[in-house]
Parts: sequence; C-alpha cells; structure tokens
Amino acid sequence: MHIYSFARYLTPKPTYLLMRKNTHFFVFALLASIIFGCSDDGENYTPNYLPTIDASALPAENKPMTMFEDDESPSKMYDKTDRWFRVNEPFQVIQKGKDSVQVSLYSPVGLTDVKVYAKLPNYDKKFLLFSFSKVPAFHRSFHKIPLTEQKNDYLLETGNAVTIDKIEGFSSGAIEFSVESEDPLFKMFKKIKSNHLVQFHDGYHINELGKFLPMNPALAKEAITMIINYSYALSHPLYYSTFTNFDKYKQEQATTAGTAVNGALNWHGNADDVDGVYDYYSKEEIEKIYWNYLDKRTVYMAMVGGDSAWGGGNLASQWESGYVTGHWVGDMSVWSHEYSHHIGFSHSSNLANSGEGGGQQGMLTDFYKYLIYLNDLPFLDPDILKTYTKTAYVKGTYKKPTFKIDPKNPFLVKYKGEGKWN
Amino acid sequence: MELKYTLHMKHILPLILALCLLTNCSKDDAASTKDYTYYYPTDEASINNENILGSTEAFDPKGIAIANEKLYVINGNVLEVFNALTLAHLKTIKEYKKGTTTIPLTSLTSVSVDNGRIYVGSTESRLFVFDETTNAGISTVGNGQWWQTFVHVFGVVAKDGLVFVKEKEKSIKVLDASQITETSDWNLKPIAKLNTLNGFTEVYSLDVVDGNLVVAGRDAKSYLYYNIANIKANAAASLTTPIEPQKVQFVDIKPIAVSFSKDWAVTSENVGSASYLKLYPKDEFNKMNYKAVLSVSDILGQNPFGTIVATAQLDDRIFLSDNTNKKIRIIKVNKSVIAEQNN
Repeated sequence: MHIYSFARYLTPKPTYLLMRKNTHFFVFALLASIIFGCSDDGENYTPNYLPTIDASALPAENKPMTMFEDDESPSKMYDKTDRWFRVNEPFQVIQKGKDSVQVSLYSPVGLTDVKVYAKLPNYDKKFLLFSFSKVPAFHRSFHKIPLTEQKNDYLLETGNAVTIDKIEGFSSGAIEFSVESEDPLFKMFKKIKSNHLVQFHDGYHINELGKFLPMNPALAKEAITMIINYSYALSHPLYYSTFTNFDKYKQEQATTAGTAVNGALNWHGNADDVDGVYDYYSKEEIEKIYWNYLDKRTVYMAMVGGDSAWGGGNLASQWESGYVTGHWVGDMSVWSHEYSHHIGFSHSSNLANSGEGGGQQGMLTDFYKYLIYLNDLPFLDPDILKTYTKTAYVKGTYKKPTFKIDPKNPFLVKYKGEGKWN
Repeated sequence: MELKYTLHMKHILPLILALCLLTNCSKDDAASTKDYTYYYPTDEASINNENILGSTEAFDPKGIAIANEKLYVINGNVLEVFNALTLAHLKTIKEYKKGTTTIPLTSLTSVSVDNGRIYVGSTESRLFVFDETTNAGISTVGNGQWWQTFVHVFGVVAKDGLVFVKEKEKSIKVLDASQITETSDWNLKPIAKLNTLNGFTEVYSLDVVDGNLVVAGRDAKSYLYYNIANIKANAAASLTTPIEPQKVQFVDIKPIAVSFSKDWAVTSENVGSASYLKLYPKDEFNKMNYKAVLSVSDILGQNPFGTIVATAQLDDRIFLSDNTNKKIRIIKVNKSVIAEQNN
C-alpha cells in the first residue's frame, strides 16, 4: 500500500511546477495529501452479489423436477442411490461432479428464503453460495457452483463481502455446504436431533409379497412426512425428559389411577421377565438408549399386508392405513413398536412392547397426540398431501382423518397445554 | 509562515513526500483487504510403463525422489530415471556395477538422492549406493542376507551427511554418509538406532526437515519425529535402546508418505479405504500442527487416489507414487485468491 500511495503523490508533479508561491504550494500539498491520500478504497467497495433463485421457476438447464409425483415410477423411490435423506436434513445439497450441486427437498411443504452457505478448506468463514427465494415441496434441481464459472463476490456470514477467484472445480468433499433459513418450517427441521438415514427398500415385497406390499410415490410422501414428524417428536425436550425419567412417568400413571405401579417400574431390556423380575437399565444406559433412537443408522421404510407389521435391522414397517391416515391422528403405536425392533429391542423389553402396565408404544403415542394438540409438529394438516382421497394409489377406503385429543391423555393432564418446543 | 518563505521548491519536494507518508497511509493499512489462498489440484500428467520405451514389465511404482531436475522412480526390480520437467524417460538402471562386480537389482523399495549419490533400498536386505552423475556403483551396504547388516530395507533417506534406513519391524538404522566409500566394508555398523514403535514389512516413507527426521508412521498411526541433534547426542546409547519418536497420536489416520518441499509437507494418508493427498504448511507441520491447506482423495471428483507410497514436489507440480493404480501421478497445485472486502 505504501508503494501505491507514493505513486499517487508523484502524479501531481506537473501541476506544482506551475505554482508560483511556495506558500500556495504548501497548502496545495496539504490538500492533496488529504484528498488523495486518505481515500479509503475498502469502504467504497460495492459488492456485486449473485441474484437469488426462485426454484419454482427454473430454466430447463437446472433440470428442475418434483420427486415422488404420484404417477412417478416406483422404481425411482426404491433407487437407494438416488432417493435418500437424513431426517435432520430434509433440504439436501450434494456435490455432483466437479462443478455442480444437486438440491433436493424431502418435505411435503415448500420453503422460502433458503440460504446455502459454502465452506472451503484453508478459509474458516462460510459464504453465501445460493439464495433460494422459493423451493417447492419435493423439489429437485441442479446448479452450477458459481465459483467454477468466474470470479464473484459472496456475502459472508459476518455481512462483509469476499471476492473469490474462479476455481476450476472441486475434489469430492472439498467444498462443504450448510443450509440456513428463517422459514418457520425449516426452523423445526433444524431442531431434529436424529440423523437417521431414510430409504425405501423393495427387497421385502419382492421376496415376500403379501407379507410385505409394494409402496408407491403417493405413499412414500406420507412415509417421509411421518418420519420427519416422528423424528421431531423423539427429539422434543419433553420427550427426552419423559423418556429419561420413565420411572417417574409410570409412578404418575399409577398415582392418577390410584393403584400401585403395574408391571415394570422403569425401562428394561430383552431378557425374559420371570416372576416380575426385570433386567432394568441404569440411568446411564437409558441416556445412551435415547441417543440410539436418534443415531445415524439407516431405516428402510416398508409396508406390510399380512397379520403383523415387522421391524428389525434396518427394517421398520406398518400397514397402509398407518401411512395414509393413522399418523395424522397420532396412531403411532405400531410404528413406535417396529422402530424399536429396528433399534434393537425385542418383545421382552418395554421399549418395544406395551407389555405389563405400558411401555414406549403407549407413552410415545400419547406424547405424539399431545404434540398434535399443541400444533407442535412440522406437519399437521392431512390436506397437504390428501392421500386419503387418492383412490388410484391406495387400496383401503379412507376419509379425511380428524384428530381429537383424549381428555385423559397423560401429557394433557400433566402439562395442560404447556410444553410447546420454542 | 515566515519559515516557509525561505524554502525553495527543491526543499519542499521532500517535505511533501514526507507529509504524504505521514498523513496518508495509516488508514489504508487497516482498511486493506485480507487475502487467503484456496489450493486445489488438477491432473497434469501420469507415468506408467507406456512411458518407458520397450518396457514389458508391469509398472510397480514404490519410492520416488527428485534431484537436479531428474525424477527417480523405483519400479519393481529396477530404478527408472526421467526428466522431471519433460517427463521423458532417460534410462532404466537394472544392475549395480562396480569394476568387475555386477549385482542385478531386485525387489527395490525406496530411493533417496543426496550430495552426489543415489541410495536405493531393497527388501533383499541391501542398500545400493550409486554415483548420481555416472550411475556407477560406489558401494553396497549389506550383503543380501537378512540376518546380516539389514533385515530387508523398506525405506531410505539421506540428508546432511546422515543416511536413515528403515528395515523390518520397528527399526531404523542411522549411518554416517562418510562411512560409505568406494572401499568401505559391506557390513557397516550403524552410528545410531531409532524405534518406530510399530511396523512390519511395508514400504516406508521418511524425510528430513529443519532438524528433524520425520517418518510417515503408517503402523503407529502418527508422524514420527526424531530430533537430529538428539540422535547425535545419544547415538551410542541408542545402539542399546533405540530412540523413540515424538508424535501426535491419530485415531483413524494412517500416514503413508511424507516429503518436504520449500513450503509444504507433501503427505499421503489413508483413512479407512480412502487415500488422501494432504499438503501442510511446513513450519506448522514441524510443530505437529496438522491443519492441511489441501486435503483431497481425488482430482475434481475423478480418478480417486490409491495408496500413495511416496511423494515429491518440483515447483508447482506434485509427484505421487500411486501403487494401487500403478502409476506416477503428476498433479498441479492451483491457487485461487479469496479476498475479504471492507464493504
């Protein structure tokens, strides 16, 4: 910078030769140093940011599409390399090749004002890469990473601008993405602590047709809606405190009923229950089990057609009615049971089974219904999908699910409308 | 003001300049943009047996070294020499020749060039020493029997008068380069011994930087640092109890290769089944601060790396001995400026 300034001061040289009096010249020199010298280039920088993108009106080059259209071939939803998401990241950004990203929204409701930030190695600050004014439900599109096109200005999280030279392309994983939005729905997604990976698996109905049934995109949309709601419920602070104090919860039920505690006093494991002796978990084990429900493992969502639903390993399944109407009114007992098999609990454990005096199935269902009552789930309105009307895509006969809270719901009795997750 | 009248134009010029400097620049400094650099690799070229005229052997690259614009590549049983700038193949060294003695080279692992000599390690328990200019044999250390001087040789680096030889398991033997002469015995005694904590029978990569020998401790899951002054001070005692390294323990990362250029530690690391090229600022690396400025497992999403058993750098080009993919990969390191503005 010093060298620059020097050059500036030498330029007025021809002018001062015309000056007659030294005094004038001195004043001129002072003025010059003020005018030329102290101009602050930085403060005058006017960044030229990239325009925002309306994902509902993209040109063909972005290959915009809606995933899980009702009439889309089910082979798409069962393509586990193409359709997968983590429940805490329904808005998914994946690097594709050296210079593009694929953006997908696994949500039955769209988002507004979604900001995708990028982070490069060797530079700690995140900068705004894409700003989407609108992203429709189940939207997918592809976008050239602007860094690979030309030198651009980007808005930093700090509010300042950063200018980044063109970068020819990126090695796998060399650019990291993060997503922020003030959209209230997105804020609910951000609260989800589970990072379970969701996929659909056609192996079950291919190998055991009847016991399992094929799903279609209309049902997949319901399944995605439900798993996001369910993951939100599991992440809820009120659920965490009830889960980790299940002994207290059981005691409260007994007190309300005016009886002794029925069956197990607290969570217990898979060992057979003999004469009222249970393999109780310690406080530390219960804490760990809670987080197992929210860990990063993969769940394959499937649909059953026989006498019973199934879960275990990656599988968790339920009947069509559970997907179409059940979850909207909080009938989550079967799902909770099968998901608990998937987490590793057998019928001997009250984590999977209702068993003597109630277990997680009943507790989760009451809690889920209380969240619907509080309007405290990401998705509450069955009409966002209206699957119950889609007679071409469902086998059962359904009418619009209407939710009613049981006045004896233990969470309603205890919390009386309080406890919404803020 | 009175004083001003006595001044002449020629006196005022320096005053103006002084004023300019005094009044001008303090603000500019504070307001100047802050620049960072993003580094990224692109594929420049690769070398395999197609680049070696008349070669019918499968290309099996192991240790590499660059000296005086020549690239030395261990290729199975031979040492290949290339022009490091044009990548033209110059010659294949298949045997060690000294006077009437000819020893065919076999099972080579490693190469290092220093002070006019080429050092070549072989799992046949020998270190071959050649003249860098004539490629004539100077001496061999070890006679090829594993119970003698070395138990195999899996890595070698020569620098500043010392020769470090990684042999089987946890052992590095240190020779003084002056021990090796045209007339020296094959069965040289090391001046010091080092312990690599873990190790078995893999090719090892090691290099010297700013007073330390650094070993890519693939089995110890850490870079192993041996202070050279300390080696010299404790040389005699180390023959009984080999010197142990300083290190930062990694959990999942296995360092495979390390070499030092002007600015960087050029390393390769395996994490699970993925192989990474990583560049660390040399000074920070020497202080065991591992913040890579470049960390990639492929080039622009293509051609994932296999296990890189040796690295080298010449100007802005990085040479990688990718043993899995059976080629020498030549990578260009590109820079993009990240300039924070003061808007």
